[in-house]
Amino acid sequence: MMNSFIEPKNIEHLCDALNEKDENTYILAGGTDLIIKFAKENISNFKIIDISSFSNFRSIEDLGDAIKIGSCVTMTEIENNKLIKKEIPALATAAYNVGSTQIRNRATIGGNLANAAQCGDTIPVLFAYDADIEILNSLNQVRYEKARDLVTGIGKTTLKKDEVITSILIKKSKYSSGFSKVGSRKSVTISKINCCGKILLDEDNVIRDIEIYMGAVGVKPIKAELIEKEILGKSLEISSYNLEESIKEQIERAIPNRSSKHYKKIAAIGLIKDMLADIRR
Amino acid sequence: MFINVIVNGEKINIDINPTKRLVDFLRDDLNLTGVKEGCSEGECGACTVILDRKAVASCSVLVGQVNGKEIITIEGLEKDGELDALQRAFIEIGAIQCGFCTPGMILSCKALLMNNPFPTEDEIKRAIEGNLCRCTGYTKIVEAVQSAIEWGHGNDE
Repeated sequence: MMNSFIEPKNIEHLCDALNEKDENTYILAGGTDLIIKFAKENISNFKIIDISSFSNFRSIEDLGDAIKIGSCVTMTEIENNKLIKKEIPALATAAYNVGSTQIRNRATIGGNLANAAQCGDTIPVLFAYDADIEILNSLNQVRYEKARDLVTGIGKTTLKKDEVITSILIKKSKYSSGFSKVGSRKSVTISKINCCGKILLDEDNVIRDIEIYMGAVGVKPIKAELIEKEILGKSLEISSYNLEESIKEQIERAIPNRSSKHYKKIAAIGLIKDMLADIRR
Repeated sequence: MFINVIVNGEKINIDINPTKRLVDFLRDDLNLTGVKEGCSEGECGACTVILDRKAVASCSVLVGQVNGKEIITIEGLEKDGELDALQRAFIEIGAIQCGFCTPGMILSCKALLMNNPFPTEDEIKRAIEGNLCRCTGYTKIVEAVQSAIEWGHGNDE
């Protein structure tokens, strides 16, 4: 088999390519996972549909009541985007903390979602914000699915063979948010555990509503209901050390049979502390 | 597939396998061996090149993806026999030991200065987060970038 490389110029062209897509065909966006995988797993026979320069997937749009982020928008573009910083601050923080400059300059939000790595940093944010994912198929039909439903397991999504993520839709809200992660080193680190908190504050800085998703403590991010319950109605200035019991219990319930749970119970206290600090920032 | 690309200011039109990695194309086809391959997984930064004014790891880019774009490698920094201020600073300050990380390191710094001519120390450190150096301990590298800024790195790019 000859390797092939298709760079679709328009939607029709893309649909044709998706129609002919087989098990050796890969959709290429930033390449920071895929091209590394080819080298690591010695995959030399492959066909590429390169969407990295596809202009339809490259923009961040203000739709008035929502924000539409093209699937091939890079982490660098997200962390520097004023609209995202204002409306979805946790997403800007998550993108800021992905890999290195070189990786952020290429890695895309659509790729992060489609790869569905357990440690994917933007995924808990998309879950917390109840993001809708726009998906295109080879028949030029569009469907929408919640990010929470799209990701089904480690590296698993509901995406069909002839489908591609075109954009991510997030509704604007009065909520503020923060993101934090813990890895084995300070920078360029892969999350051992990460989290996104999205909160609604009243004028006295009391938390009136909260949604927390934690990543890498299960096959996909989990809703940290115990911690949410504990934080609800408290001041944003709360110390995570006062939440110790519920944090530890949350981790116990998420990964009861993992030896890493002992480490993650302690790490999660710092994680929640950093997440709250990111909201206060 | 015919690829049009500007490499170090020179227009190149070449019939090439677009599924080749950029690092292999630069080293094997264009003989630009200043591009080093270290980890092959986008972690070490030795293969860093500047693609449309941004630092990227050339081991994680395919040649087909650079069609119509502009690339700068370490070979492209010297102008008319004169080294770039960053290169001079790395030599004078002693920011080079074994030298393997140096091309990627300098290009990460160059990309930073192209977009942010007067970075803070933290911004310099962040720009080279993805460039591993096992010899220098990074202190001299940060110093060299600061010196290059003091000397005027020529933000003519």
